[in-house]
Amino acid sequence: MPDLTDEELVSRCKDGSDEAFAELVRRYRNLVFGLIVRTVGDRQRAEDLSQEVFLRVYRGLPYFRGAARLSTWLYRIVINVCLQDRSSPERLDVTLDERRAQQLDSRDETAASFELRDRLGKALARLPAPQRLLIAAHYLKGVQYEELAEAFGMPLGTVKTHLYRAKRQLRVLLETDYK
Amino acid sequence: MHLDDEVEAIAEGARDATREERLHLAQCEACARALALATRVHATLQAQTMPEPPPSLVGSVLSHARRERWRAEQRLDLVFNVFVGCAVSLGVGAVWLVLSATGLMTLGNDVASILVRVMSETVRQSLPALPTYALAVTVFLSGLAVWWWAERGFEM
Repeated sequence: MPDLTDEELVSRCKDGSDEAFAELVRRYRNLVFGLIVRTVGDRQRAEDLSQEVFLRVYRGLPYFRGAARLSTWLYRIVINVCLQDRSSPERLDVTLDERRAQQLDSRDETAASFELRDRLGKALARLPAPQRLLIAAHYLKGVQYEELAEAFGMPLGTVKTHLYRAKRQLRVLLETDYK
Repeated sequence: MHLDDEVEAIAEGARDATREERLHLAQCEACARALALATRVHATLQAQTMPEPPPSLVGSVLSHARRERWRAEQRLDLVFNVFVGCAVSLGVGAVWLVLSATGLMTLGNDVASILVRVMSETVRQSLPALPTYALAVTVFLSGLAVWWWAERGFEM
């Protein structure tokens, strides 16, 4: 099953194979959960929403004709689920990879990285959900810009413009409210 | 002029600063501070850990999907049964109409009374074994109830 392409996997899912659907979930769970948890902040809520995403995939598979890539379709569902979610986080956890955090600190020793992470988490939570989602996608390994643009229904350049606008908004929040 | 709109792209290395921008950054403290902050934000966000989904996610999605499929099948069964019920009722109604219109109803009544007599005779003969039949029906219904409960995923 892990060797199958997305198209083959979808075709087997359409034939009613539970094993193929399980493989589909396994293949995309990191991306889906990662995007959602970095958008909504709460792990439990993110688990529920990830489940909702995959259930929507399950319901929609019979109608999926393969005009878009499976990952693009998944991103679209993640976007819809995140934007429909009414909960708003108080703060988002910015947890650093230990090895990369050491590199970061040695590169910029004056940066009070703990304080910055705390302020960053609060500032991220204050951004509107679409902007949080864009930033989450930008910093998640494996997310392709082209697929994301297609999922948002925007040209690639517009997505980048929105992303920089979101990051600018984040910086302004850090510069002002959390000084 | 400030570099507000360009700071993020320069900070994450999406493009290099032009000569004019570099000159401006050297002279403008606000823009230099903005670029430094944007660079730190970018580096911090880039160094984030990849969030790990809970191990139970796959199993829980699959069990929800199976339950949903079972409910969809149940709905389909219900629609089919209602359809069959309607078809049978229509058929019976049509036969009754034909019998009434052709005067065969009287004959039908005679046949019905014979059937009722035969059935009551059968019931009278099997009356002594009624407790056994009742027990069998109870066992059968209990079996059906257990099956139904198990199919619903042991939910009360």
